[in-house]
Amino acid sequence: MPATRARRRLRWLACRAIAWGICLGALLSAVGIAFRGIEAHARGALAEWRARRASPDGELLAMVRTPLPDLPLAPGTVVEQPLWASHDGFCGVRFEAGALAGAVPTSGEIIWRIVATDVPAGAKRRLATGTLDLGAARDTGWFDVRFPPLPTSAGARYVLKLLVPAEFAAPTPSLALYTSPEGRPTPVITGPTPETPPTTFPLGTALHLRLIYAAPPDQSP
Amino acid sequence: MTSPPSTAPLPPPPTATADGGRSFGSDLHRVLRHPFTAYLAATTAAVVVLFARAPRPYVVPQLFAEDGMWSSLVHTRGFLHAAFHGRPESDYTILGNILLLEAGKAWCHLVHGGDPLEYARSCALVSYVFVAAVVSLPVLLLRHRLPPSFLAALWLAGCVLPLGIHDRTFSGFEILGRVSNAGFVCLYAAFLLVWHRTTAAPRGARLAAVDLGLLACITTNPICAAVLPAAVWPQARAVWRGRRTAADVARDPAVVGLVLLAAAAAGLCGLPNPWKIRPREPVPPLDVAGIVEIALARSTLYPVLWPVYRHLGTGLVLAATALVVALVARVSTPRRRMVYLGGGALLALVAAVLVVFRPELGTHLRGYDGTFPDRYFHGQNLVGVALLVTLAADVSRRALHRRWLRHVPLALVACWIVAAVLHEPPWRLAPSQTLRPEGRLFALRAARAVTAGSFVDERFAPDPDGRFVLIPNPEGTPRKFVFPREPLIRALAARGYAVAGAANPPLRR
Repeated sequence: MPATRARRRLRWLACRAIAWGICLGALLSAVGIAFRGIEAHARGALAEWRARRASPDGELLAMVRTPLPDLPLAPGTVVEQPLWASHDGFCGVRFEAGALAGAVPTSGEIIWRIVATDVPAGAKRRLATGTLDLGAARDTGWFDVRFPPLPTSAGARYVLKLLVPAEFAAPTPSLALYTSPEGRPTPVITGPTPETPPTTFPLGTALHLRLIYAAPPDQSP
Repeated sequence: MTSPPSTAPLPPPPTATADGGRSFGSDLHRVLRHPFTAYLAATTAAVVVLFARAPRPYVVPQLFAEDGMWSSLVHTRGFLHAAFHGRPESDYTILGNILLLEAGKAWCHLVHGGDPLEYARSCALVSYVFVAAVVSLPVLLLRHRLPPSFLAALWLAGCVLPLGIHDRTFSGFEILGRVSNAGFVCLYAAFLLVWHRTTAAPRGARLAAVDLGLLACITTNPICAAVLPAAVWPQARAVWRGRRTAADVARDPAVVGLVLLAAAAAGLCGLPNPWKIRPREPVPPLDVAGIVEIALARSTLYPVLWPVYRHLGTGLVLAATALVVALVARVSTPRRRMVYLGGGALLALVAAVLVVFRPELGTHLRGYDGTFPDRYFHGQNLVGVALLVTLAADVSRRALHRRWLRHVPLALVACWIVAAVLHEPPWRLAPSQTLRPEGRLFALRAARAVTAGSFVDERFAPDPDGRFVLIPNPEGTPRKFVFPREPLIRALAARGYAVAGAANPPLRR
C-alpha cells in the first residue's frame, strides 16, 4: 500500500509538473513569437530612419531642435567641437553658418583642423588642415570642410578645430546653435586672448553639424 | 450506543483513477485556473506591450547612463560592492538594480555564452520583464479586491501609461529597457504589496514572500519605506477600537514580520540621508507655480490630466485637485477609504520629497511645456492609475441598482486606455527610439580599446596584465565601461574585429 501511494503521489507530481511545463512553454512560445515579430518591425523602421539620416547631406552628429542665438566667432577665437565617426571613410564635415545682422559674411577665411584624440602618445594627431572660404556659405548657409577619407575612422573620436585669425576683419562669422535632446558634448570656445576663460555650453546645446563619409554608411542597426 | 465501524472499502482518492488522461486533464485544468498562471500570462503579455513601445534598448543594445557604471562594478568588484556602493554619493543602496544586472549577466551566460557584447541586450530584456512583472502584480495581489474586468483594465492601463515616449526627449530612451530607471516602479510594487498585506492577511510563506518583496523595494528605492506604517493599520485600528490588546498585536505574525522587515531594511540601507542628494547645477528656487506643477500636476494628477497637460495652469490644476478630492470623498466606498488615504498620503509624501530635494525638475518641466523627466514620476503615476481604476470600481459597485450606470465607469476607463494607446502608439517607431544611434559603435570602441592596450585591474587602475578592458564612452563623456578581458577579446574575434595585440602576454594570476 505505501508503494502504491508513493507511485500515485509521484504520478500526481509528474502530471502537475507536465501541466505547468505545458503552460509555461505555451506562454514563452507566444511571447517569443511576438518578440521576434516586433524586433523585425523595429529593425526595419530603424534601418529606414538611418537611411534618411545618412543622406547625401551627411550624417547628423546630433539631432537639433529649436534655434538658439548664433555663436559669434571673434578674431582670435578657437572653436573645438568633439566628433566621433560611426563609419570608415570619414572625409568631411558640414556645419550650418549663422547670420549676424541678417546676412552671412561674404569674405574672409578661417583655419580648420581635424585632430585625432584616440592616438597613442607620440603619434601624429593633426590629420588634416585647411582654410575655409566664408563666402562659399553665402548661398547655401553651410560651411563645408573636406579632406582625404580616413580609412579606419569607424568608432574613432576627433576634434574639429576652427581658428579665426586675430587679424580677421569684420563682419565676424558665426555658427548656428540649437538645442538638442541628445545631450552630446558641446563645443568649447577659447579666446580671443589666452587669458580669456573657455566658454562652455550647457548639455543640450549643439551645432547643426553633419559628418560626410566616402562610402554610403552601413544601414544595419 | 455507537454503531460498529463500517467494513466497506474506502473510495479511492479522486486523482487515483484508472484513466490517467482524466487525471492529467484535471491537473491541467487546475494549473490553468491557478492565479499564478494568470499572473504569468499577464506578465508575458506586458513584456510584449512594453517592448513594442520602446524596442530600442533591445534592438540596438547600449549600456546607458548608470547601467554602464553599475555593470562595470558588477564585473569588477562583485554584487555586494555594487549593491551598497554603486552610487558615488552613497546616499542609498541599489540592491534591486544590481540584482537585475546580475540577472542580465546570468541570462547572457545562459543564452549567449557570456558574450560581453550581448550583455546590454540581456539587461534590456531583464528590465522589460521586471517592469512587466510589477505592472502585472494587481492580477495576483488584488484578484479578490477588484472585479476581473477592472483588474484587466488596471493591468492594461499600467502597460500603456503615457511616458513621453513619442516626445523628442530622452524619456522614451531611458525608462523601458533600462535597468538604471527600473527602481522607480518599486514604489508601485510596494504600494500593491502593502495593500495586499493589510487586506488579504497572508501567513507563513506567503507573508514572508510579501515582506521579501517589500525589502527588495526599500533597498532599491528608499522612499518605499514610507509605505511601512500602513502595513500595521489593521492591527493599530483593532487596538484603537479595543478589539485587541497591544500585547496580542505584538505577537501577531504580521507585526513581527514587519518589525523584522524594518530592522532588515535599516540594517541594509542605514537611515536615509536625503540631504546628500544635490542638483548638479545651481537651480533657482521653486515658486508656487513650480511646486503646483511638480507636486500636483505631474506627480499626482497626471493619470487624470495627461490629455490636457500642455494646456494646464496653476489655477486649473488646483481646481482639478479639489474636484478629484471631492469626488473620491463622495463616491468611494467606506471599506476602501484607507486605500485612498494611504495612496494619497504616499503620493503627497513623494511629491514633497521631489519638491524639496529635486527642485531642478521645475526647470525641466518648463511650465507644462513637457513631461520630461518622466522616469521620476513613473511609480507615482502607476499608483495614481491604480487609485483611479479602484475609484471606477467603487462607482460601478455603488450603481449596482442601475444596470446602465454600472458599466459607465469601466467604459470610461476603457476610453482612457484607448486614448493612451493612440497618444503613444506602440506600432509606430517613436522619435526617442532613434536618439544616439550607436549601432556597431560600442564593438568598434571595444576593439580599439583592446588594440590600444587599455587594460585595468578591478579598481580601474591601469595594468597591462589587468583582467579587464576599459572602454571609453563613444561619446566622450566621462562614463567608462569595464568588461572582462578574455571574454571580450573572444567576442570581438568571433565578430571579425581585428584586435591587434590580442594574443597578449600571459596574465599574472
